[in-house]
Amino acid sequence: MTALATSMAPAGMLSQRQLIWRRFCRHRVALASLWFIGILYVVVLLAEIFAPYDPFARNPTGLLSPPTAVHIFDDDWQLHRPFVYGRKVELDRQTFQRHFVEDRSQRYPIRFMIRGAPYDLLGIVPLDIHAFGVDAPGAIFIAGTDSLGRDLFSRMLFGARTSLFVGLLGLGIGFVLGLIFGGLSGYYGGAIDTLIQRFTEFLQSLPTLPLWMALAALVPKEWTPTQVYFGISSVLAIIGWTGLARVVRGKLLSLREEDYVMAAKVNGVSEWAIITRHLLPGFASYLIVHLTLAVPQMILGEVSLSFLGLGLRPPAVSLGTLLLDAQNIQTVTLSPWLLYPGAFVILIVVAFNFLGDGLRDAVDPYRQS
Amino acid sequence: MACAPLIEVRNLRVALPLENGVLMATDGVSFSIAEGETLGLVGESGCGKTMTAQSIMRIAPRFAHTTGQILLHEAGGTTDIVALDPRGPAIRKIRGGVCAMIFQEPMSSFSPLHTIGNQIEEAILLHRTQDRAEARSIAIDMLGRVGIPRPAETIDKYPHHLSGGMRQRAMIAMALSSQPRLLIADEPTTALDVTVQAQVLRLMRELQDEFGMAILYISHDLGVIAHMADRVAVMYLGSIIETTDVRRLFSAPRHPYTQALMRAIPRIGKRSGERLEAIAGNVPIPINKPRACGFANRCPAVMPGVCDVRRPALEVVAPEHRAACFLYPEVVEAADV
Amino acid sequence: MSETELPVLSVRALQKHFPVERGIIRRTVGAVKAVDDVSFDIAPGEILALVGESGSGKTTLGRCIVRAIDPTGGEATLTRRDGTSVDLVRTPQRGLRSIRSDMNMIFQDPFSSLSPRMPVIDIIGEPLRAQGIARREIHARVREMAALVGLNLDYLTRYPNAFSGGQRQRICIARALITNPRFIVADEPVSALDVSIQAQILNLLQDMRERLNLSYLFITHDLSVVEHMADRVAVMYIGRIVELAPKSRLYATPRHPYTEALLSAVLRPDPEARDQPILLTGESASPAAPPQGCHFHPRCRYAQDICRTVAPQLTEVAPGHASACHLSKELALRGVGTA
Ligand SMILES: Nc1ncnc2c1ncn2[C@@H]1O[C@H](COP(=O)(O)OP(=O)(O)OP(=O)(O)O)[C@@H](O)[C@H]1O
Ligand SMILES: Nc1ncnc2c1ncn2[C@@H]1O[C@H](COP(=O)(O)OP(=O)(O)OP(=O)(O)O)[C@@H](O)[C@H]1O
Ligand code: SF4
Ligand SMILES: [Mg+2]
Ligand SMILES: [Mg+2]
Repeated sequence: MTALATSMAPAGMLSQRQLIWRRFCRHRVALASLWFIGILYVVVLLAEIFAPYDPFARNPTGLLSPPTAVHIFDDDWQLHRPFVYGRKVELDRQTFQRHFVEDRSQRYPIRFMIRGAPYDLLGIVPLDIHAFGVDAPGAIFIAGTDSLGRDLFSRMLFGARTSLFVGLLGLGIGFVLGLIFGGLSGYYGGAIDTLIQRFTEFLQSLPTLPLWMALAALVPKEWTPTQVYFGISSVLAIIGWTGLARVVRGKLLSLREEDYVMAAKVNGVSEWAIITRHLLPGFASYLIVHLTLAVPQMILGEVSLSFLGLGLRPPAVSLGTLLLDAQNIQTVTLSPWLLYPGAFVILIVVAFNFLGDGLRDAVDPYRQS
Repeated sequence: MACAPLIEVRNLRVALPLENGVLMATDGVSFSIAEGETLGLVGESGCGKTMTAQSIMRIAPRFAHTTGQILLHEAGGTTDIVALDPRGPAIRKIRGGVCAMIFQEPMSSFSPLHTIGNQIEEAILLHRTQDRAEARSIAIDMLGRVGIPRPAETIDKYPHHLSGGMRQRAMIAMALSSQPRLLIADEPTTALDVTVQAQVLRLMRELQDEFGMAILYISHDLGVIAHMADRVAVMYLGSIIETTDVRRLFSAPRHPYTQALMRAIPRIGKRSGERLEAIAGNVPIPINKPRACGFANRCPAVMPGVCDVRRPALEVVAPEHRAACFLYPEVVEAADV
Repeated sequence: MSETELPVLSVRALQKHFPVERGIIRRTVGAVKAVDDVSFDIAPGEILALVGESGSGKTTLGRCIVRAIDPTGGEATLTRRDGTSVDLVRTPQRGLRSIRSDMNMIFQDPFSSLSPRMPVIDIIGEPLRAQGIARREIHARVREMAALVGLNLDYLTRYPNAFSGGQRQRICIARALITNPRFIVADEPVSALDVSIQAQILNLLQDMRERLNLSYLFITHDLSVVEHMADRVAVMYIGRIVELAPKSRLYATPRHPYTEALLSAVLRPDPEARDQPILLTGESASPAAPPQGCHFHPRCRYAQDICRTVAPQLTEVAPGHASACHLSKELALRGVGTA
């Protein structure tokens, strides 16, 4: 310990935070995940701009249209700026199924910052600029359309907005609960500790899915999507705080034993100042790690609940409700792009997990194997 | 003591690539130990004592980069331990067989999951006999030898049942059960009380008289070294800076660091209450260390332009006495060649 | 040390028993008597060394006195700089806050006793901040104190991980002394330090005592350090003080067999000395289940029948020299020579 700490000294000009950041940057995948998540949040917050279409706008001629291919060469191998072809419908004489095929006679170049459907950005700024799109009557469906002809890519952006923020809201509530219960438990110890510990054990031993279902069933059917949204967040939070409470309790218990906490006591520092100045900074970094790893849990929670029809319900758009369309195996075989929201969920969850792992290694260098 | 050397370490360098540079844990360490001899290795925390010992056993951290030679002379021939595969069968025969080690932390050197007996028997089965019953009786005998009361009962206890001193005895019993030629004792008594330390040191001397093994005794405590060693090597910042027999070292130290250290330590019988002659400054960290005398920044006799531009080699400066300091013409001569 | 002056600290029958709990509902099934009926005084400017083996309760005693932990019983009277006396044991934690400027503690491990996430200037100033002193004044005092203990003032905004062990211990000392206390518990302040650094810190502690007229309870297991630092020495064994004497008396003529063994086990850095330690047999008992009678009797080579049944009291065997041994009047025990 002594030798190790001595050997760290040259890096000592840096604060703890700078050291953590330095170690984190060496974790390439985590850094990439951080970028991905950062950009993702910006994009979904500004979904109105980045989505080429209104998520509820139906396209009667384009039901279950497959993803539109983007080209840069035409049939004569001439180079163009990226463009899409028009579409036309063909009927398969044998199966009587409709197919979309490209209409090679029409080319629609992809335009950026194009005027399109009007909207209110963040609910206040009236705008009609979209990040990309094609001139009517052409259409660009990067991820295809659903059975009502709505652009799946646009819906995914709006859905991700809901899912990513349900996660955060639920997390916020769970964070406060976990901090309070874990803090009480770890700081006071004794009977309070025993009581809270038994209670968390009880909550943790309940099977999650039935519990969710039971709690979600309490959300009245007549609630508006916004109310349901808050209902779901709270449901997730009520179950989600136990893990955090344990982390907080364990950390407090071990930090209380540190000499520097005892030194603070001997120096006459008040209990409150000991907690806020010495104990909390000691594991703020662990809380951040824990939160990062908890976000994907919350996202998955919303997705599962909505997928089972217990959470958000259409017309609300979330990654979970989007997947409702993929429940029918027949539709999925014919229109596999309906699974794209699922792939998107996986991507988001994996990115959060990598980010959390990277942060954990950076915060706690001694845990490296 | 005129015996042939059992082990010869030549120019051992262990480099640890770390996040803020290369840490030279040991930097050109050379020494040899004869059969039945005790070499004391002293030095401050972090100077590379443990790393030297770990290199002999090939248990240094896996990312360490080791160069130099560690020659083990046996009747059958000479082996260079550095050249062996650290996970191959050859080193495993040496480790715990010809060379055994006692660790600083008696708690961490036994597995908490197995009884003391199981772990000692394991070592015996690996190196001495195939017969389990015989291994057990050897183990009980060894535990008795190291002064553990009721060895036949204690053998079935778990490490946490024993006190620190008893655990250290059990550790010694385990190390000696394979009848090693070289025993490496890495601060075996640092964690113990002085009264228990006295028992353990007495025990090691008795066992050495009985088995005739060589001991590499690592410590930072000059009192223990004076008590245990035949010859002493003083380490500072990864290098051996002085080596001679124990009497010469304590009566006439040559290196300024050793001299300063002898004056800095409080001792019983010294005029007490007086100020100690402290050595100014701090021990530097051996990361990206310059080619200079490691003690130059704290040395009272430092010669600017000499000590801080070249590294002094360990040369004979008096009969049987080597030191690495430019105050001695022999060292200056060697550097100029 | 004039006779009439009140002791800085007067400890009487101090006790600390840790409950031993078992089972899910944590029933108390026994007690570890870590400190059991300890009494002593410390005079102004005096250094009382506390020695004894690992687990004998030295740290617990020190922590009880500064009320880092709460003692189970007894008294500890501190005479403050303004001449008033307070009983540290009975004052509740809140009431102690104003008293804390008169006493402090230095910990063994300079690595774990400094908050890793606070710059050094805040660490040293913390005791003043706890008393509600203005920031500007705190900083001025910190710089003064840091200079006094030999810290480089340019580095005060750095974090503790930028400092070596010896420098960290200087930081700890600066923090402990910044409120101008009268009394310091120093719990093994040099045992975690490099050998070549220890002398610097010992000298610093000596200098501070002279400049600030401090008293120390100096806990250590190193008898050479004791000989260098202490005025008087208390020897602890399983929760009790077994011998208490002025330093040179204790070293020359110990009156307790455990002290004798302890002194003989000190190995001098001198190969000619050929020290012959008295080898104790058996194991030190645990304070959870101490032996009957004299706690030391299973390992004592002089033990008689009475030792196995009757616990000896700490009694004065010579002026200022107390020992807790039935035979301390009869035995001629071996000491070590002091100059
Ligand atoms: N696993 C490791 N990773 C990084 N540095 C290491 C590691 N092991 C050792 N070191 C460094 O190598 C140097 C030598 O360490 P070593 O353990 O040999 O010292 P030592 O002389 O045994 O010290 P001590 O008296 O504290 O045991 C030290 O500076 C130490 O910080
Ligand atoms: N919080 C605690 N709960 C229960 N037992 C304790 C606690 N703290 C200390 N003890 C016990 O009290 C006894 C005295 O411990 P203490 O740390 O005071 O010894 P020490 O003399 O300082 O030892 P060392 O030299 O190892 O520091 C030990 O047996 C220890 O196990
Ligand atoms: S009282 Fe008896 S057992 Fe205890 S120290 Fe004295 S002689 Fe030994
Ligand atoms: Mg070591
Ligand atoms: Mg202690």
